[in-house]
Amino acid sequence: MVLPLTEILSAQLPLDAPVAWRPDNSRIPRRQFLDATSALAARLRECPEVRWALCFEDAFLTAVATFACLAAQKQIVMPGHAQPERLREQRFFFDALLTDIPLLELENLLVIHLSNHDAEFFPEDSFQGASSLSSSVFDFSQSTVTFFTSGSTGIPKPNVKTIAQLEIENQIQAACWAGNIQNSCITGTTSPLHLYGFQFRVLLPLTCGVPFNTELVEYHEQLHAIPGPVSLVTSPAFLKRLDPKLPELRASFILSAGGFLSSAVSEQARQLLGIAPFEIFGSTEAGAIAWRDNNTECQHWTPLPGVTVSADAEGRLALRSPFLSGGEELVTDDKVQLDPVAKTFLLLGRLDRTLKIEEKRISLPEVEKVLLSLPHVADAAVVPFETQTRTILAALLVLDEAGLQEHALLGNARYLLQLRQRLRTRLEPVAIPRRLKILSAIPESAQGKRHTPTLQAFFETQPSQSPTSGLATMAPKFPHILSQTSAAKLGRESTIQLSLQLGAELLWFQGHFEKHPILPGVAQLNWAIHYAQKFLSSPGKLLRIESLKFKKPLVPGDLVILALRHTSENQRLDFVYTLDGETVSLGKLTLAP
Amino acid sequence: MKLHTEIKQLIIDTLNLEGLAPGDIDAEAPLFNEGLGLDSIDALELGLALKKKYNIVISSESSEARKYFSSVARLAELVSMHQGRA
Repeated sequence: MVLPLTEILSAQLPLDAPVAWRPDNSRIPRRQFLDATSALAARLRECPEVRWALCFEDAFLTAVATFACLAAQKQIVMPGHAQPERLREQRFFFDALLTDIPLLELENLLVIHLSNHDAEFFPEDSFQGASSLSSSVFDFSQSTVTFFTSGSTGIPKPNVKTIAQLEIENQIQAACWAGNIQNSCITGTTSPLHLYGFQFRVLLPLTCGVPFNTELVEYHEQLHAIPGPVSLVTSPAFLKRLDPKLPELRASFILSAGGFLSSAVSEQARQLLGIAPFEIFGSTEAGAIAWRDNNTECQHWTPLPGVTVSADAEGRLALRSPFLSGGEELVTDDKVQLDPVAKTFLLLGRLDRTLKIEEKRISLPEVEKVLLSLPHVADAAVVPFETQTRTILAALLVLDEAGLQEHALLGNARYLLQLRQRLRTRLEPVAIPRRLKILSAIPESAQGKRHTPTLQAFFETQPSQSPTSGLATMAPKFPHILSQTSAAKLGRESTIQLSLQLGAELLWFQGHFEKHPILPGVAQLNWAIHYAQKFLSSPGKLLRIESLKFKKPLVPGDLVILALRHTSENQRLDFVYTLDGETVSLGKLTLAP
Repeated sequence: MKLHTEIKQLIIDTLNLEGLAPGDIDAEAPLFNEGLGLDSIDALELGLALKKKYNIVISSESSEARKYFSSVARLAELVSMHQGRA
């Protein structure tokens, strides 16, 4: 059975058929869905407000609110979060709010709170909802659902989808996956307020008549409490953090979207959950674009039925899709390699200043804009930074006098904590910077461009200086020099080569990283400047990094050659580290005269 | 309150809260919203680290899990409850 969205309320189906189920294993029958939807629709019809924002945790209440809005001819707006300050910024897009979050209120805004225990919407026993809805013919042709995307300009952009558009995509998704999800319980680890969760945790289950879990699953353990076979709607953020010590499960189906799974993560999911995930590649603007099945070896993505893809000379993916309005071509910021024969493609990365952190698309300009709006912040730059386990954001700030005093008073760590608290209501949690560096100016190239690797170099992990690692203060900062050439001078150029023994006792290896120590890039930079000053009499202060490249990691025990060339005319210092004849890293610096 | 300090250090180490000392974290302050402002990925990372270090069991019921992950003090209760049982 595949119902169109327009018939979900009016279809003549058994009233005791389960629509959803709760974690306590109680089923929510269709009767209750229709009663609640009809009661809420009646309430909405009395309100003059047209555009309703939906902020829900519970997937069943999301379904009730969605279909009540549609039945009452209201427009739906999905802000995608429940953070009051961000909602205030989006106020222009809605007139009233529906939510299941108890204390959520906004000044001068009508808010209707829904709860599963509310007698108004969940009467003890009543069949009125079913009878009033089943006799109706619904016309959703004027209805829309507005989602938001974070554009690279930094302003959240509304993306309006008509019900007709959602219907086309939903029917195609149902045709692709209905066979996989039949006789299972659909359960999700992603919010029902974003397009992916909304489609697969709410619309698709209703369309296919498969009951869905009302509650969001947050931990792997919670999957074990679910009775019967599970169809999991999830993302790499969850699958990457499965606990290999938990007993195996046999899921019917796993769908992952929002980012890409490595083959290792996919294989671990197959071992722990009994099946490898299917993946969907898409975006809020485009809807679903393509899919791949990790139960096969194929890394290529196959466009969904009806979607055609092409790429320009730069490799930029463009597509035409029945899920887009108007039939025009959508040009994305994704770089791909097309297989023109098979009509499939490989994904190679992004071309703009947005990036995905744990499936959340983060716009760096937006984060910078929010930082700049804070008091005492004169300039701000944000760069992604890789830690051992995840990508985080690191912020470089220029502060005014009062800001500098506050920073000095609190110290970097507590200043950062305070900064994080100030940003909490304005940014997604993953977008809140975790590293902070205060500078007097943010380095820029002669063309005024900010070079990401140069900014990232400020955050190369410093050895831990916390009192727990008291040894660190005793550890040497410079390696043992095994041999050196004599410094040669030719005109304004002087050069030298040093052979360096990297002992495990070096300060730079402490805590970077605990199990797999590698020499931080900042140490390599530091040594180049230090030895150039010592042996070539160059200035000891860095003015600018012209270019910097780290090709291979250095580990304790390595014997490396450092070659230095200083040109006194323009204070240029070039350095190259080599290991067994292979370049490890190289850089071009300008020193402060 | 040795356990509190230990859990605070574990949070600092696991979540890369660079430069923060255990004394900067209030044992009663919420971990995930106000307070440290951690996110759902942190919750998963922290869960794995706690299981590894203390062999605790995370409840399959989400309200239970949420209760214990609300603050350092609640996490300490979970750990000591588990140690008492072992």
